Amino acid sequence: MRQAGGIPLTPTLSPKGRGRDPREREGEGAYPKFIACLCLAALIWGSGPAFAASPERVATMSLCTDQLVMLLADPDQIVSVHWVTQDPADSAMAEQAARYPANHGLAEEIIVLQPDLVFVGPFNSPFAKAMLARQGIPVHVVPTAVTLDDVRANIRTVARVLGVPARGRALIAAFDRDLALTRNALRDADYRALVYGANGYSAGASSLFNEVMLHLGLENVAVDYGMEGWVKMSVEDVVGADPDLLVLGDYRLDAPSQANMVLHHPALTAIRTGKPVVRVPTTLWNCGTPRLAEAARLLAERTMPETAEVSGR
Amino acid sequence: MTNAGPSRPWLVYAGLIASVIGLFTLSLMIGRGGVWLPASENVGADVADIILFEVRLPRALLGLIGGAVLGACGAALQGLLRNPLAEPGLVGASSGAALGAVVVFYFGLFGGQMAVPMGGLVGALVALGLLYGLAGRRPDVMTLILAGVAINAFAGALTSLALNLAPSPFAALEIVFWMLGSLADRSMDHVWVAAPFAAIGLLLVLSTGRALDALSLGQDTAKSLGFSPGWATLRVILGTGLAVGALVSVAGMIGFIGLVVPHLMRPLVGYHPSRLLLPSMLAGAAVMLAADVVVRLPMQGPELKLGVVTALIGAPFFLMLILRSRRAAA
Amino acid sequence: MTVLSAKNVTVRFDELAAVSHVNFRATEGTLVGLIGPNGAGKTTLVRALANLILSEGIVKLDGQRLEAIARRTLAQNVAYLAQGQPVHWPLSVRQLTTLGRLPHRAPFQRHGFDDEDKVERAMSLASVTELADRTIDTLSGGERARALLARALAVEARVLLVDEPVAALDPYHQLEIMEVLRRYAEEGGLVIAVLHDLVLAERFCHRLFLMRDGGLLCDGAPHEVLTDDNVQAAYRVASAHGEHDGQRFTLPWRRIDAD
Repeated sequence: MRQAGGIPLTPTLSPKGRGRDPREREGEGAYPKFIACLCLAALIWGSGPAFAASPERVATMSLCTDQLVMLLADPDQIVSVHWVTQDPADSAMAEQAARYPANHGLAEEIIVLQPDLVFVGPFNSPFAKAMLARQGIPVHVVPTAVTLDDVRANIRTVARVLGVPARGRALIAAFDRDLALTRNALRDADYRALVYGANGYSAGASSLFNEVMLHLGLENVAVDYGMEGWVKMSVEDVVGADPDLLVLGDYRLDAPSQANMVLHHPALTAIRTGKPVVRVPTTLWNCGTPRLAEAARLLAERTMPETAEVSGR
Repeated sequence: MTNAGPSRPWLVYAGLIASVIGLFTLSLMIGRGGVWLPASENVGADVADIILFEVRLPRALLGLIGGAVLGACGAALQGLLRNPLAEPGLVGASSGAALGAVVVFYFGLFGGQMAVPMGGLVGALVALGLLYGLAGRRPDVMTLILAGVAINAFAGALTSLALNLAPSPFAALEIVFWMLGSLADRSMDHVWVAAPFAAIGLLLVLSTGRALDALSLGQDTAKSLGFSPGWATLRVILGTGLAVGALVSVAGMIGFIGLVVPHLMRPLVGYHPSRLLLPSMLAGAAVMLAADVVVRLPMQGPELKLGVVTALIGAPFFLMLILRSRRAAA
Repeated sequence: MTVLSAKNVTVRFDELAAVSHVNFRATEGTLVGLIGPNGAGKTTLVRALANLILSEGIVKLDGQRLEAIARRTLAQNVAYLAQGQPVHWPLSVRQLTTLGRLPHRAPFQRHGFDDEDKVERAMSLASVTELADRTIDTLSGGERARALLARALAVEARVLLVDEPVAALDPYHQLEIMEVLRRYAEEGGLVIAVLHDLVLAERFCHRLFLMRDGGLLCDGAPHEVLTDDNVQAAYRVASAHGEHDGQRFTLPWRRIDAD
């Protein structure tokens, strides 16, 4: 099964992409921003070391890009974030996101704000992306991170595009520092672990939570099953996998959903007996941000409080 | 000329044209959460222009074209099949278009923003070709309906398969959204893709008015009145397939307009299939434009999907029409 | 001069001949009654004469083969009223009758005053003028039959083919419709009507075609056709005869078993 990150992406739809399509080039001259865009494009695409001018008005349109941008940009640089990022159930940075006007993924909302840079994820509406690109607004697509290296790369890219590469380096350094505290923290336990949550999804190979488990020295059972990315697992699969450690992703536990019913399945209760069951909020690992370090810390701590204390503090 | 239906047909036309113009204007003026076009002193004249001409104009145009297509094709199909439950989706072209778009979008063929509509068009044409292959050279109404149902079922199954195998929950959500229809953020390029097919389709469909009138007396009598039922069938099916297929290619699935609008028009203009075509076309455009304004009204959360709103308005309305006609018959 | 002729007309459905080797020549001013038992091929013959189904043999109108006549021209000259004619939408009687003018309108030509007069005339002939604005679904059986006939009359075709126009009507309305058909013929039309009622057929028709097993058993004036032998051969019934107002009538009286 293909993973989200495997979708072919155009790293930047605009402005360099525009140059390839003669049909789209018409009318560009009408917008004075075009020249600025070209410069920006040259900088984004060129492997030039530094970014000269910081964009002044940055809009971001998806949960994961919102968080990276909020971590890296100056608060007054940001003109809008996606509405989901303002919801604490989905977002680890809801409080901070609430300071900005929300968008709902529509191009019109963004155009009114006249940003000079827009960040989107691969799953933003292609129509919205194309519409913004057509208006000469640089749209930067941040790919979905599936490894910790992807997280670092995304931070680096976003920081560079924002014109704050130093801040990016600092954030990566802090992330690595936090991660170092939990590296192989659970290796000695020799657990075969499985994460299971929201709608019966688990994390197979090429997924962030798999990375977190590997980082902690856990073996991810889902990988043994040949699973990749976000994978749907039935209760039977979970019981059959017979993990030593079951990690439950907490997501809107109070909401009546198939997801949470699966978590209360008697069969799961049975295999859980006598084995560690750990809950980690989904918000910490649903995006490739440095919060993953916290997900790792929580998982380590809650699985083996003593060990984690020793290595973590 | 007098007849039992319309006492003043010109009044109906005037009202419909005024509604279409009014709703088209409203569609240009109203934005997210019901705010008016941002005043240029707030955002600058150029930004206001961009929003008006590059964001809202294509959207309003697609609403106009799409609604006209659904209304006219719905009326024509109901006339052709002599069945008030017929709707444009019956031909199979729209589910074919939806499948084509979904396939292009999610399975690695995404190159450029026009790939989705192109995939949709290919899907619609393939569905029409299949329909022709299944129904044969001399299609009768029953074979066509059955073939359409079969194509719908198969395309729907394949779309569900795409949903099932979607690379991630987000992709699955996007497929679901596609099935619900939307005009948000479409550009003039989308209008140019849809418009020629819509125009050809509408011409084909509107050209069948008299044949549809004759067909209200059955195939034999229509033939004895000098019409070829097979030729009329071909024009309606092909026209509907092209026009609705093109619409679905750019906007996703939008239901109920084609089904309900002819029923709305019958009390106003009578049951003559030919006299129903133009009013249904205008009313379809008005309803689609209105629905596309409604989707923008909620302030919070994602924009509503157009197909959801048309179904939400359409279903109870349809029920009401049925109840009223039953009461009238009793 | 209107001449409708059939030569060796045969219609097969999957090898089975529903009509076989029918020959006749009929001219204007004639009301022809097409009679015969169920399944004799009356409806099939009428549909072949209207060029609605493919047939072997030759059907000619004024010496021209039907297949060679342009569709619209043929529609202007041959009108057809189907048995149990469906009307799929609740049209008004006037709207319904107006459909009969469709063959006379060129593409994009609007419905003119001339057409309106003809619609009025057809409605008046079929005595449905008072019902003009009623919709078809609100009519009684007799009114409905007359309205449907008005539609066929409105074509003002030289040949009028009607399939069981008086089925399921009460005597009053049966007589009324037969009178209309007879008048249509006497005013210069050629009418071929499928009938089951031998009394009506004998009283109103100028000429009768008696069909059996797809073929014409007998063709001639009513009193020549409705002989005891012919009626028995075609219908397997013995008949009784009577006379009223100087006109002969035939009543089917008793079944006769084949053996």
